[in-house]
Amino acid sequence: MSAPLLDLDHVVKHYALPREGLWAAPRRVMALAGVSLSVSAGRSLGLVGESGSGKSTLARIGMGLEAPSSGLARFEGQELASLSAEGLKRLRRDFQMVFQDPYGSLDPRRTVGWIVAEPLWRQSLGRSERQAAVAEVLGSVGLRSADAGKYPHEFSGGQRQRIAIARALITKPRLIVADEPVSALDVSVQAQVLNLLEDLQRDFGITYLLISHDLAVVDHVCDLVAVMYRGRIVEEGSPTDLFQGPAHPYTRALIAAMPKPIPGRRRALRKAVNGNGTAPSGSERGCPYADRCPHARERCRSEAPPLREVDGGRRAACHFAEEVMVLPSPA
Amino acid sequence: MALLELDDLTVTLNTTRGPAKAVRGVSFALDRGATLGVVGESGSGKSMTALAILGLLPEGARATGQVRFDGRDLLTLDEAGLCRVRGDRIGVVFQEPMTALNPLHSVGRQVAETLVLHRGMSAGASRKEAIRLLDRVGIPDAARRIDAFPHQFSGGQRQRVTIAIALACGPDLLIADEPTTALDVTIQRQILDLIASLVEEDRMALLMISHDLGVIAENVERMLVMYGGALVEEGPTSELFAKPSHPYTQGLFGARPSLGAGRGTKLKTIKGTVPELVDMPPGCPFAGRCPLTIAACNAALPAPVELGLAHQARCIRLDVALRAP
Repeated sequence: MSAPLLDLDHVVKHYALPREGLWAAPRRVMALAGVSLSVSAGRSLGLVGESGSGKSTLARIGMGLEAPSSGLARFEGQELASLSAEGLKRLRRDFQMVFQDPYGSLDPRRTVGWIVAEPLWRQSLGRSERQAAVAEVLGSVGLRSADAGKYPHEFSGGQRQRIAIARALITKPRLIVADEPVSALDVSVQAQVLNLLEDLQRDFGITYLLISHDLAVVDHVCDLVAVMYRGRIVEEGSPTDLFQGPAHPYTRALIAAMPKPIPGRRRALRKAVNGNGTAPSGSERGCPYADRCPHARERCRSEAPPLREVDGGRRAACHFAEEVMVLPSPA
Repeated sequence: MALLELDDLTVTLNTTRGPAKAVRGVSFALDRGATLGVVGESGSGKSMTALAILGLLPEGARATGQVRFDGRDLLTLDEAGLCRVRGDRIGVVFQEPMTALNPLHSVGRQVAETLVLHRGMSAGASRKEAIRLLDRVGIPDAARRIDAFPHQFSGGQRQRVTIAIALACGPDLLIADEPTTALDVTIQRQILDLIASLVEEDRMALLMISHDLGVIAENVERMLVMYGGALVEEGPTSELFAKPSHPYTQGLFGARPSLGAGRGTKLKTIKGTVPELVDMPPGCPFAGRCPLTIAACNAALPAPVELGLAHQARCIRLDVALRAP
C-alpha cells in the first residue's frame, strides 16, 4: 500500500465566536476535535454528517485553505501549514474543489471557456494550448468544445455542475474535494453527474473526498466512509460494512432517519433522533453522543470512547460497538 | 364530496419569450382526511399547482379551470375571500423556514397573528393558545421561548414554528411544499413524523409536495407524478412503487441511488435535461427525452390510461413501457 495522498493527523480546529462582553474572553467553538484520517490515491472517501459536524472545515483544512489549530495536514507527506504561500499555490494544481451550488460558483460575467481555463493562469501556456486544454476537458465531462464561448446562464443546473467539474479537472489534479456536488440538482440529473464522477475516476485515477449528507450518494461513489459527529469521526469503514451493520449508534440513527422508497414504512418507525449534530462550544466529559443515544449507559457519560478498531479495518468510537453491530438492521 | 377538487387547472406564465404553460390541465381530488403526494423535478409545475390552490401565483400568471375547495371555486374568489380561507381552512408549510418567518417579530406574535385575524381572539387568549401550539409542535419550554425571535431557533425548530402557524386555526387541509428539503436527515425525520402525527390526530387532509421519492413513499396514501406541468401518472403509493408505468416515472425510480446497491453499479440516467417551459413539446412533455418517443407522441397530451385500481398513466406507448425490465 502506497503512502496516503492526503493525511490528517489529530487535527483540531477552533473558531472564536464574537465577544459577548467587553472584558469577557471570546467563546470558542471546536469545529474539529482531533480528527485523524487518510485518503489513499485512486480511492474515494466519503464524509457524512449533519450540518455543523465539521465536514466542510475538514475539507478546507485538507485543501490548505485553513490552517489547523493543532495537528498536521499533509498532502503526499508535505505538511500544508509549513509551505510558503508560493509553495502552496504550486501544490494546489494537484487538488481542486467542486462546490455545492453550480449557480453561485461560476462567475456569470465570464464565458465558460474563461472559467474553465482560470486554474491554468499560473501555468504559462499559449492561447492555443489553453484552448485545446479547455476543449479536451469539456469533452471529458460531456460538453461540446463550442460551449466554451457561452455564458453560465445558458446552461442548466446539471450542465453547470459539469462546467465546475471541468474547471477542477483542467489542472489534471490528483485529488478532488467535492462538497455536496449533487444536492442542488434534480434526481434525474444527479444520476448523470454521479456516473460522470465515477467515469472520471476510472479514466484518470482521481481521488475523491466527497462530502454529502446523502448516504445513498456516498454509498454509490465511495470506497471508504467516515461519519462525523460534533467535530469527531465516530465511525469509519467500507460503505457495505457501515450501512449494513453500523457499529456506532449515530450511524444507525442516520440510516434509520433516511426516507426509504418503501411505501407505508413510516408507521413502523416512530423513534426519531433527538437534538442536533452541531458542535458544542465547550469541552465535555464522556461521549458527545450520549445525550441522544438510545443505548447510552453510565460509562458513556463519564468516559469518552476513543476511535478504535472494531472489526476488519473498521473503526468506531463507541464503548459498545460490538453490541451495536449485531443489532437488527436499522433500515 | 371531495374536500379539494382540481378540474383542468392550467397556469400560464408570462416569460420573456412569450406565454408558457407551467401547469397543463391538472385534475385530481383529495378527500377529507386523505393524504396525497406530488413528486416531480424543478419545473414540473408541482409548486405552481400548490400556489394556484392558495391564490398565491406570481404576478402576471393566469389560472384557468377550477379549484373547488369544499364546493367553492377558489379561482373566482377575490383577495379578501381568499384571505379568509388561507391560514384558516388551509394551512401551508413552505420549504425555507427562515424566509417564511418574519425576522422582526417574535415567534409568539407570528403564531398569535393567525388567531387574532381569523378567530378574533384577544391578545391574552391568543398568546395562551400560541404557547399551547408551540408546545404541541415540540418547542421545548414554549412558555419561555414564545418571545424569542426566529434567528434564535435552529432550522428544525423554525420549521416547527411554521407548522404551529399552519395549524393554529385547525385547518381542513395542510399543504406542505418540500417541508424538509432544507433540513438535515435526522431533523427531517422528526419534522415528517410531527406532520404525520398531527395530520392523523386532527384528521386533516395533507397535500405533500416533494422531489424525494422516499419522503413521498413513507407519508402519503396516493401520489401524483408531474412532469413539464402535466400529470403523467397517478395512483395509490404502493401500486405506483410496485409498478411504475410511465417512462418518466420509471426513469425517476431508476436514477435514484439506493443504499446497499453497491459501488460501481451504473445509475440509470434520463438523457437530456428538463426543457424550458416555452420549449415544452406540444404533446407529451416527456417526448424527446423518452427512449420510446415516436412521432405520435408530439401530437397531443396523451389521455390517461387505466392500469389498475385508480392507477393511471398518460402515455401512448404503455404497452412497450410495461414490457421494459
